[in-house]
Parts: sequence; C-alpha cells; structure tokens
Amino acid sequence: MEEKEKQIICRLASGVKNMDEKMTVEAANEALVNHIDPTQAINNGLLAGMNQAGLLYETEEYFVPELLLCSDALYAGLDVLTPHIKSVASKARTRMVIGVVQGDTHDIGKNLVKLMFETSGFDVLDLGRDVPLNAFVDKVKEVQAQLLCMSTLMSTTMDGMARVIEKLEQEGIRNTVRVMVGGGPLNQSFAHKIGADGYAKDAIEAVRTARQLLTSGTEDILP
Amino acid sequence: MHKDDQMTPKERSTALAMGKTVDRMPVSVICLGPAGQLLNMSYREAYASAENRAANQIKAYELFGFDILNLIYSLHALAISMGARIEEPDEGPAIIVEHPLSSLDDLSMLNLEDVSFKRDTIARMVVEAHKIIEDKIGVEIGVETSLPGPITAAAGIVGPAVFLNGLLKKPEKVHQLLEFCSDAIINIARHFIDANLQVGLADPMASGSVISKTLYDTFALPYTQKIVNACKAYKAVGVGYHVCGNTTKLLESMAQTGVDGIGIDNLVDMAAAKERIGHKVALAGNVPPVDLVCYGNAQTIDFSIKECFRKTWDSPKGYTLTTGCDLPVNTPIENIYAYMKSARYYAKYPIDPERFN
Ligand code: B12
Repeated sequence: MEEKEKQIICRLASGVKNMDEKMTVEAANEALVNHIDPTQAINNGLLAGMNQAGLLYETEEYFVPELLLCSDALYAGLDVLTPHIKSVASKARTRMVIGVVQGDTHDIGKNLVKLMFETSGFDVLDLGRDVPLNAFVDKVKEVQAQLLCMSTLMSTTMDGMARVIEKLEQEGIRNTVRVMVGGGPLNQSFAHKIGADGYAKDAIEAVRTARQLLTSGTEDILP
Repeated sequence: MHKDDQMTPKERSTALAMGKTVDRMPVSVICLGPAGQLLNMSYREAYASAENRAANQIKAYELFGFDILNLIYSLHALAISMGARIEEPDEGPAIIVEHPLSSLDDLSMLNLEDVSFKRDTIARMVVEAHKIIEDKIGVEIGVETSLPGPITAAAGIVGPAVFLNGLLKKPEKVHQLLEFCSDAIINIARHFIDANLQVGLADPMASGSVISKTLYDTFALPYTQKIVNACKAYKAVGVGYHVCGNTTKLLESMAQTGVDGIGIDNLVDMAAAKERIGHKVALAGNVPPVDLVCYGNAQTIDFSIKECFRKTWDSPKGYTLTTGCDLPVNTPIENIYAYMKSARYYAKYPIDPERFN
C-alpha cells in the first residue's frame, strides 16, 4: 500500500476511535480524492477504528457515551463513502433480528450490541425494547433471519427468552435460526439451559460468538 | 414492635445515638418490589393510592420488623410531571414510552412550574401515605423516600441515548438540563423534608456500568452536591444516596457529594467500600437482591449476610445491613423471613466478631 493511502486509512481509524467526526469525514473525503477503494476505506479504516473503540470499552477505558460518539463518527464517515461503492452483486449479508424482551426497557446494552453487529456488516432489524414474545418469532419468520439476539437486564423477564425459543420450535423454524442471548443476569449456563445457541458477556464478544456460531453450520452464511 | 425484637427501631436508633446499649444493630431490606405480594394485589395496585402505599409498608414492618420504611417515589417523576407517555405494567414500575423532549437543542420550554410539587401526583401521594404511616406506627419507626438523582432525572426527560450522547457532544446543554433537574428535585425534597420524611437520592443512570469517573465527576457530582447542600441548608437533615450497579471506581466521588450514608450495590466489595470511604460516610449494603434473596435459599442468604457483617460491621461511620438494590416483584416471602432471621442473629448485641468469622 502506498504511504499516502496508509496514512488516510490510519486517520479514518483514529477518527472513529478518538470520537472525532470532523477528522473522520475529512479523511473519508481524502480517501475518495485519492481513489482509495471505498470498501477498503470502510473495512480497514472506519470499522477497524470501531473495533479498537470496542476493545477500549472492554478494558473500561471507554464507557457507553464514548462508544456512542465513536459510532457517530463512524456513520458520518460511512455517509461519505458508501455512495461510492460500486454495487457488484455483493455477497448476501447475514440478517439478524434483535430486541429487549417484554417487560424490560433497559436498552443501552442492546443498542451497543446492535451497533457492533451493524458495524461488522450484519443486516440488523431492531425490534426495540419491551418486545412482545410473539413479535420475535413473527419477525424471524418474516425476514427469514439467520440470527436472533435477545437481551434483558432483569431476572424477572429472563424466562421470556425460553418461551420465545419454545415458540420457534412450535413454529418449526428453530433449526433455521441461531439464537443468542445476553444481558446482566444471564450467563452461559442459563443460555444452555433454555436451549439458546450462544451467550456473550459484551457487545464485542457477541460478534465473535455469532461468527463462530454461523460458521459452525454447514453452509457459510457469514457477511 | 416485632415479636423477635426487644426494642422498636426508633428506641434503637435513639439509644445508639446516645451511646447506650441496644438489642441489635439496625438492619434493613429494600422491600419495594414485593409490595403487591404483601397485600395480595398487583404491584400496580399496591402503588395506585396513598392508602395502599402506606398499607404495604405497614405490612412489611409487621411481618419483618426491619428498621426503616421506604415510601417509593419515582425515578421518572420529573418526566411524568412534564407529560411523558408512560405504560404501567401490572407487575413492575412504570415505563416511559415517550420522553417529554426528544433532543437537547431546545431547552427553552423547561419550566420549574411544570415539575412543582403541586403538579406531581406521585409526590403528593408519598406525603399522604406518610401521614397514614405516622399516625399508625410513627412512634416506632421512621420513613424515608428516594428522589431521583440528577442524572437519572435528566435522562428521563430527553431519553438515555440522547442524554449519554450529549454528555460529550453538548456539555453546555447537559449542564443546563442538570441545573433545571437539580432545582426541581430540591423543590420536591423540601416538601418531603417538611413532611418529616427522611430523604435520599437514587441515581441508577450515574452508574459506573454506564459512565466513566471523569463524566461522573463533571456531571453527577456537582449537581448532587448542590441538592445535598440545599437540603441541609433547608433543615439539618441527613441525606442518603444510592447508585446502582458497579460503582467501585466512583466510591470517593460519591462520598464527596456530602451525603451522610451510601447504599452500596452488590457488584461492589464491601471491604473495599469500608476501606476507601467508611471513614467519611455510613455504609449500607449489599446482599444480592436477585441472585440470593429472590433466587437463593436460606443457606445462601445466611452466607451472604454473614459475609456483609464480617466485612463491614466495624465501619467507622456506621453500617446497616441491607440489600444491594430493590427486591424483585416475585421474591418469595419465605426468603425475606430467612433474611431477617440471619440478620437478627448476626446483628445481635454485643457484636461478637467470632459469629461471622
Ligand atoms: C441504567 C439502568 C437503568 C436505566 C435504564 C435506561 C435504559 N434505557 O436502558 C433506568 C433508570 C431507566 C432503569 C430502570 C429500572 N431498572 Co435499572 N439499571 C440500570 C443499570 C444501572 C445499568 C444498566 C446498563 O445500561 N448498563 C450498561 C450496558 C452497556 O451494559 P449491559 O446492558 O449489561 O449490556 C452489555 C452486556 O450485557 C451485553 N448484552 C446486552 N444485551 C445483550 C444481548 C445479547 C444477545 C448479547 C450476546 C449480549 C448482550 O452487551 C452489552 C454491551 O457490552 C443496571 C445496573 C447494572 N449493574 O447493570 C440497573 C438494573 C439493570 N436495573 C434494575 C431494575 C430493578 C430497574 C427497575 C425495575 C427499577 C425501578 N424500581 O424502577 C427499572 C426497570 C423498568 C423496566 N421495567 O424496564 C436491576 C435489575 C435487577 C434484576 N436483575 O432483575 C439492575 C441490575 C439494578 C440492580 N442492582 O438491581 N435502570
């Protein structure tokens, strides 16, 4: 890679990581002027920066507000770059459905999980918070989602997740979708008990786990 | 007086204040979630009127005999007074469906009149409920109530996502909103103090699980200090404080707010809390409400209470055993009995550290 190109990619990444929207947008425009492939700029620049921010969150250097700002910078950069991606028949992206189960309105964590999936190239359908159990099943069916993520921070609403999985079974679509659960009171053994495929303790790990789950099947449905 | 005690909570605290001997140390449980169960009705009904609010706390005192009652107010009070759209589930506190403001850009409509005591139905219910309790058992036990802390109140008005984003992007706007919230909280707190309620602040959104220490120090600390100072200037009262979740890195800052006592949630080690801030404030905590009191059994509860006492019984400014946070709605009542049984055992005077070693 050319020195100049390297530099621009590097600034894209640090713009996102350092919550610097202005720098990110400038670097994105420079990338276009210098004919850097926008897909490269997104992957090696913007998304790499978001990944670094995620690592800072894991080590408690960043908290929720910082990650939200990184994502603002990321989206500002994407706004500049995405219109210039030549639409070659791109590989289908993994469709996933996410939401906070009924009775619970804690959605800060869910929003971070959603963000990390989006920035990892997943096609995310967000049902929001306090989501009726049937709505999860209906949506998975409707969009033929490959991944379902359910979140809750309250132990009083955890059981709703088990009921969603039961409903998926009743509808005969349990085998078509990988189910991941997460949130404060949950752990791996709870996930196992209710028959979920995966659990993760934070948003960064969630994406890693999802990738593993999706590749462990026969067909490759990764983005 | 509860059958298992020799003194009423008020006799106990008066004796302790005078350095006299007591039957046991004060103990507490945050018993707001199970209110409906105590009255054989839904959570929603148990909080629907001043009469029911009083009845559930009187019942809790009768059954368990802990040392302080708590008349729940609402974390969302300001937002509700300002016309937030809420949903009230049968089994749990109100949920904000639509926040009164959707951005921080235009704060010109903020008006203290809209969030005054007069407009605040829940605050008025709390004061009324307190009158009922005072009449019935006021000689025996005191009542406290928790106001929302500034961060939680502000996030309720614009919504958590907009608020958290604003902390870094629009700090002046956030300060303006926090100024407003703290003024509103002070106004309501004065009414509670006039009614002879003990006051505290609860600020779950200021949790170390959500924001960094730097942001806490910049945004939570000054406005919390302001509220605490105003309460104390109004009348010589003690002020309590609770922040949910993991506040380990915030402990010193929380003590700096000027409050007299801090309720520590179960993600924090009580030994660390004692060592770092026990010489500055009274401590309360921190039996895990969900994992142990709700989903545990008599043994696990006993183990946890013993550990709390072992770590904190000699905290320099005082210690009260309590739960880390509120008990879930569906907490089995037997488990609260089990909690009180162990609590009475370890709290018995004279304290013998051998009991919990
Ligand atoms: C902030 C907060 C609030 C805010 C919520 C604002 C919002 N819109 O989200 C407010 C003040 C409104 C609130 C209200 C209440 N709260 Co609250 N709240 C918290 C607090 C302090 C922090 C939660 C948080 O945002 N953490 C930061 C985020 C980033 O972390 P996270 O959510 O865990 O998410 C991460 C991981 O879990 C994971 N993850 C999350 N979801 C998923 C999903 C998948 C698939 C995967 C793989 C991973 C994953 O990745 C995320 C990012 O890394 C916690 C304390 C705590 N220790 O968690 C209490 C807590 C969750 N609240 C609690 C309670 C009881 C309540 C109330 C009932 C209180 C009341 N009496 O009014 C109400 C609930 C109303 C309702 N029905 O929803 C309890 C729940 C107890 C329990 N286990 O049942 C807690 C644990 C406090 C306590 N110690 O008791 N709360």
